[in-house]
Amino acid sequence: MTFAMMFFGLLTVVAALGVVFAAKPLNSALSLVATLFLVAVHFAMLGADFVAALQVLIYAGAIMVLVIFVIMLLGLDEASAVSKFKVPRYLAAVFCGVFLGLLVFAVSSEGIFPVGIMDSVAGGASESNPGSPREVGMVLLTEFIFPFQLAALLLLAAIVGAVLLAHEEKRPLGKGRGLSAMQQKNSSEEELREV
Amino acid sequence: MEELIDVGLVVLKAALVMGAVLKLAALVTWVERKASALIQNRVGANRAAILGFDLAGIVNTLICDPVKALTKEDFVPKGVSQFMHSLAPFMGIFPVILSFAVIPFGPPLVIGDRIIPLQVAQLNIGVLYVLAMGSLAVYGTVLAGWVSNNKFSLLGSLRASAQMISYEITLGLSIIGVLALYQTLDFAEIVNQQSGTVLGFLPNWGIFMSPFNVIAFIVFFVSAMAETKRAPFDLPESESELVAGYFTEYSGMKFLLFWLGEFAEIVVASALVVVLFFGGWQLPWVDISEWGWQGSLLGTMVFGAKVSFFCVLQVVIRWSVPRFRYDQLLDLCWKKMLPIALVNLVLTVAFMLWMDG
Repeated sequence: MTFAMMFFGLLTVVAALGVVFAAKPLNSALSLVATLFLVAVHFAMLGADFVAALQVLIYAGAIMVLVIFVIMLLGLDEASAVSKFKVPRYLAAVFCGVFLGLLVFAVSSEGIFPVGIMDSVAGGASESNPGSPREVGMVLLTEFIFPFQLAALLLLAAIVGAVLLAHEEKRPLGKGRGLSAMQQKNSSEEELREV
Repeated sequence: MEELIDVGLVVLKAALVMGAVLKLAALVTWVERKASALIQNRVGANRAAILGFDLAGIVNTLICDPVKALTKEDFVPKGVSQFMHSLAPFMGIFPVILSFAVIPFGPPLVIGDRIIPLQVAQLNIGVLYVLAMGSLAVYGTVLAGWVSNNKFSLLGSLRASAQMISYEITLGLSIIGVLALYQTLDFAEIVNQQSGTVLGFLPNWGIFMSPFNVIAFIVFFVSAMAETKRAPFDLPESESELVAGYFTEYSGMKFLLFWLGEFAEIVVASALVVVLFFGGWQLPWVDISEWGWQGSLLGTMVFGAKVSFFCVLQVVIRWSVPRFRYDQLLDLCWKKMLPIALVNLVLTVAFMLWMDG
């Protein structure tokens, strides 16, 4: 545990708390961007530069833009966001507590991870870097080629589905081109976000 | 002590590079005014001179403009979060400056036993790092459009984000073929590989490495120009439709920050083109990496000259070409450049296999 790790760890926790406690959806989403970016910093400190770059490129740069897009277009305000929850709130606390306990147990106990996670944290970047783009690419295109292609197929299906949902037949004006059509469009964008 | 010197050197390099990028960006604003006056016969910029010296008109742009912006009222619309309103211009400019950290601007400087790479950070994923920073640049515009509470701003930022996300794809796809030729993502290594000649007389620059790299260069350059959101791709801020697009509600220094970010983007785009396709700091036919500190100095100047050339080229294009219509803009990306980039990738890999026999 170096000083930098403590520092960025603290920042990550603060940003993550911001996601949960921010009243406005947009502030919450921006906190999530910061959290994802800081997680990338942790990856970089552990010597996994490639994963760090992908984390920023895909999560912070692409997926979160889509989320913010949806928030902007739907114009959510704080009141409607809270009132939609039908489940009692204490249940959320219980589940989060159980998950936190599991995480603490997993990190603190030895032998759960094949590579000692605490060792790699202490050691930092090693000489033979298994996280370099060349190594990751090699493994991805030989050993894990089948799951890799399967994931690509899944994403393709998701894209085709999203286009199908978002596609709107050209209708003459006055026949559902107004508010109802807008609402339909919004719901399909929500689908896109979930994808 | 040794460690202290190392840290000091990195800080010095970071400060130098940041200063250089911002200065170059400011210089491009001056070039832009002069070029616009020349090309479109605009009155004003072509009269900016001090005591008859045309070149001294640079003072008007570099000193008077910031002073004017600093003394203007910083206007924030009613009912808008002050913090978010101030955050947006910074979110716009910070990834642009950060992305310059991995670009090598000269051959390593050797002083005594110490080898100082002329590059702020040598990452083995340099190219991905720049693309990641480019993908973060969207937030500045999106946030600016959202917090302004103005429909013109919102429309502008929606256009900007759709445009930037679309062209990011062609930007990344166009260079995969080139990166396959280099076999690395490290910019310093990429520039090192571009020394010497190909076919006996052409400099061994990225653009001459394979016959298809010209296609990659054109697609990359057009995408990079679209990422900077300037004419012919300036729909997010098209004055005739959206007042000023996503920064309609910005004034004073915050407005100038958006502007500076745009010009810094031009500098970064030019630097990327130079490093990937035009040999970085390499001088054709002469190997300057063996020349000691003189080589480092010369390399930095060569790099600066090449970057300046592409900056001026972008300015000239900006003032010569009219704006696209929005559907034309997206058609160009998805229906023309995307297939071209994919075909180019296949052709480049085929060329590599053919060369290997």
